[in-house]
Amino acid sequence: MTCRDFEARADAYAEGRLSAREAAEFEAHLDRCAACASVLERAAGTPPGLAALPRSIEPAVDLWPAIHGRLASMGRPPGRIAVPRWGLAAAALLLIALSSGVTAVLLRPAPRAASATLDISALEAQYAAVSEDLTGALEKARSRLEPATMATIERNLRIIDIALEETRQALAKDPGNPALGQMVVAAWRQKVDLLRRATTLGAES
Amino acid sequence: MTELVRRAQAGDSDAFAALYRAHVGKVHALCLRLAGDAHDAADLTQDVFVRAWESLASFRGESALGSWLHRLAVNAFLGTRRASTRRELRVFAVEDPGVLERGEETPAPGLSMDLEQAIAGLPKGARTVFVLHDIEGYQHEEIARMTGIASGTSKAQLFRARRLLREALAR
Repeated sequence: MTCRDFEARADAYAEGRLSAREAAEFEAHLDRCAACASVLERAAGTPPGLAALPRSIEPAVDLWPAIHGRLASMGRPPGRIAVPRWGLAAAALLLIALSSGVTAVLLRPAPRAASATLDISALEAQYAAVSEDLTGALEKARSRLEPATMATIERNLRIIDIALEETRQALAKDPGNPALGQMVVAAWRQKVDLLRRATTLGAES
Repeated sequence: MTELVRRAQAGDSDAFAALYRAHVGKVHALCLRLAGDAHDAADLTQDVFVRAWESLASFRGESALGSWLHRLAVNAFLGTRRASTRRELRVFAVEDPGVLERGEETPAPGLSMDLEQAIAGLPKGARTVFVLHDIEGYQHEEIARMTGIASGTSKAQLFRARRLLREALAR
């Protein structure tokens, strides 16, 4: 592409009217032609009002509770969480359902000092509310999903529910065990994630 | 390095919460402009702070925490873009997932200014380069390195973004 060709195509490039090949040629020309890069720089300066844009915009909703919930399910480095044998069994169930997510949680290094304080009841209430909404959405999407797909989703949900219930019972017996709390939260996250994926599948079908 | 950062590095979630409160506005502004969508920006902002918690031990205080978080946000956004062929999980529970699939041309809720709306309406590639170059101050070579595009592509996309913004603002 010559500089004259380049200049002639600048408007078309800006308006997205060039083919992919022509656009690639246009961009490649800029890589090797400083003169055209300079022309282009002058042709379109920064838009007015740029300097007045706010540097800080608070989120519309407080994101901290959700972030805190995710942190609480993680723990902190270094060290490793001591996981009871039955906990590994529960984790295996989750792994059957969803492969990698829980492994990361279980084997993630433990807190060095005070770990993120878990308010399991509050987190469970939040996850339960979201889970209920998504279950309703999944029910509406049921007719759009293949029966075999729906059966797989329901089977995996049952596996997660079993693991969740067993972990919750263990936590009731040993409420001070932070690893158990983290596993309850992890199980809820897996359930909500699966429901989200499933409802999205339903929307796409 | 501040005492709050040291406490957060030691696992103090209250200290990390204070750091979140101090920095979330700037991180979210960047995420909002990069994503061009309020829902995606909220997801991205969450991811940035989760990543920050995960990798806080590697922060040595050589740069300001705000700069470090900005870099995390850019990396998180670019990672999300690279994974865009996979459908992203959403934070929000909705019965109609279609409401989350907002097109690029629709201004995002929360972006009230004309220029903000015009930026949100830019094509994704042009918006990314514009935000990184004209708002965040990255050079084309850095943008090329981070995004995996050629420097010429970055320059061309910036030209396109500025031209489209001027046209949008002139309407």
